Amino acid sequence: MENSINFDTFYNRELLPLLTEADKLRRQTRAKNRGITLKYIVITAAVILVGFLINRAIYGTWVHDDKANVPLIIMVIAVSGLIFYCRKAIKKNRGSFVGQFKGDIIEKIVRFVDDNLTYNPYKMIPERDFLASKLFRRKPDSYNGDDFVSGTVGKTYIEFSEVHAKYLIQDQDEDGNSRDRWEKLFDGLLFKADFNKHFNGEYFIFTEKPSRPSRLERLINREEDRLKEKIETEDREFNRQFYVYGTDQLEARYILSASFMRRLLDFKQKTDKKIRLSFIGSSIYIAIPYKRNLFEPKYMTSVVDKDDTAEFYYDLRMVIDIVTELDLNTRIWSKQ
Amino acid sequence: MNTTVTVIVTIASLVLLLLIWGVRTSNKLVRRRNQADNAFAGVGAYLKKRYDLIPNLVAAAQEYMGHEKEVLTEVTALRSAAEKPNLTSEEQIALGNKMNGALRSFQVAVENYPQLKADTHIMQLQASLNEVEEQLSAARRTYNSAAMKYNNGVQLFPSNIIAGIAGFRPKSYLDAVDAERVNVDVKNLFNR
Repeated sequence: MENSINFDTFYNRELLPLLTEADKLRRQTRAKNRGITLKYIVITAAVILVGFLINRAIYGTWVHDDKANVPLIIMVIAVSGLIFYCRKAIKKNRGSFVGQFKGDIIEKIVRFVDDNLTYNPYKMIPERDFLASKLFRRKPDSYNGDDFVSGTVGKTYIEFSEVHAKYLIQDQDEDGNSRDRWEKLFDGLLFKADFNKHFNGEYFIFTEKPSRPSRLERLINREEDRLKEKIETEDREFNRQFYVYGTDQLEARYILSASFMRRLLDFKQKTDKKIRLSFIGSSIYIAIPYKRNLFEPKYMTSVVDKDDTAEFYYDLRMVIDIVTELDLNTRIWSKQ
Repeated sequence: MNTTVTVIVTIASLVLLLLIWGVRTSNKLVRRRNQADNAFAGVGAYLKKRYDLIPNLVAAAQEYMGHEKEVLTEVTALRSAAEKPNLTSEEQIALGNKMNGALRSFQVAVENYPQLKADTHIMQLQASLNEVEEQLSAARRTYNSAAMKYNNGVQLFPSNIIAGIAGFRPKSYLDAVDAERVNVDVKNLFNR
């Protein structure tokens, strides 16, 4: 589909009517949420007023200094409940709009890029794949995501989604009290594809020097060094830009052919991000960090915006094009 | 008296340190040499793997390739030559390089036979051959990398002193053959 028409034509012909409809829904959702907010403000004000009136009727004053002020306590609980339900209702409406937008617009863009791909706005790449990729030393304590794309591009099966992974840290203050703190492990896109060559070991490529367990850590925590040995390739530029580790020097070079290294250098330059790659099982995993939330429609202003829509398109293209960028469809070896 | 003891202790310490350094450097060189030898054995293993594919390839191709039998004859002859016992490393590598050229001619010749191009058995053999070629290229690069590390130890100061005393000799590198410089896309050859 994409080859026959360009994005501008696709935008004007296919997306614009859908975006206009979506914007109508956005305005309706906002109006609905404004109504809900107003309703809850009135109810909350009434509850506060009634609370104080009952308190005054019982204790003869708005707030009694020595008594428990039970009506006020009940009032505070009721107000908290009202705020909670108000927020929940607003969030639900907004979520419903976002879901509909993604189901209509993002799905359409995904199919425009490649008709064989399917899109699910609510699913994510499973946590077991995140762990299997071994791209991160820590295990996440919280893992979620959305915008799951899967399917076959040419001969290569791919899947990717947005992922948010965090881990919990316990801090201790001077008095010895512990406090939980969430630390970011990874925010961005996790991409998995069937690699076009057979291999047995595990290989890692980082753009930043990864942390490795020291001998002491390995002994005390029984933590295995997943990265195994450092691999220096013959490509000086590649060695300058990437840190390569893996199980076997020879097999690493089998994966990292001269042309593949050049392609990776180009891909890194194109993305301009601190990407990580691993080759495990029969798959290639790529983690591309993003600071912003991807594929999210605007809520406060109009969604009929060509630049914003083009951004969705280019973000998707960048990931789906990995197959051609890294030449994963070339199946001239025994793996078909 | 004290001065004499101090001098003796200092000299003894220096000699001891020098000895420790010498042993460590020698061990390092032995380790690197072993790594290079091991990598070279990898090249040999993949050359053998490639030779093992030849009989099947020739058998599958000869019924189609009536006019270009000489290509198959050359490939078969090279394989027989490679099977001779007591070949030196240099001879093995030279034969391997000749085989690269012969196999490239074979792949080009395949072009002239549409039936051969469509044969699934040949396609599988070609895929296996490409795989071995790529592995062979990786093995050569691994060897060259290991040989360079070893040679640096042998030729650079101060480890070259120990290398000279202990008789470590630099290793020669394997040249990348043309077939490895250009990654042959057999699939494209078939699809042309």
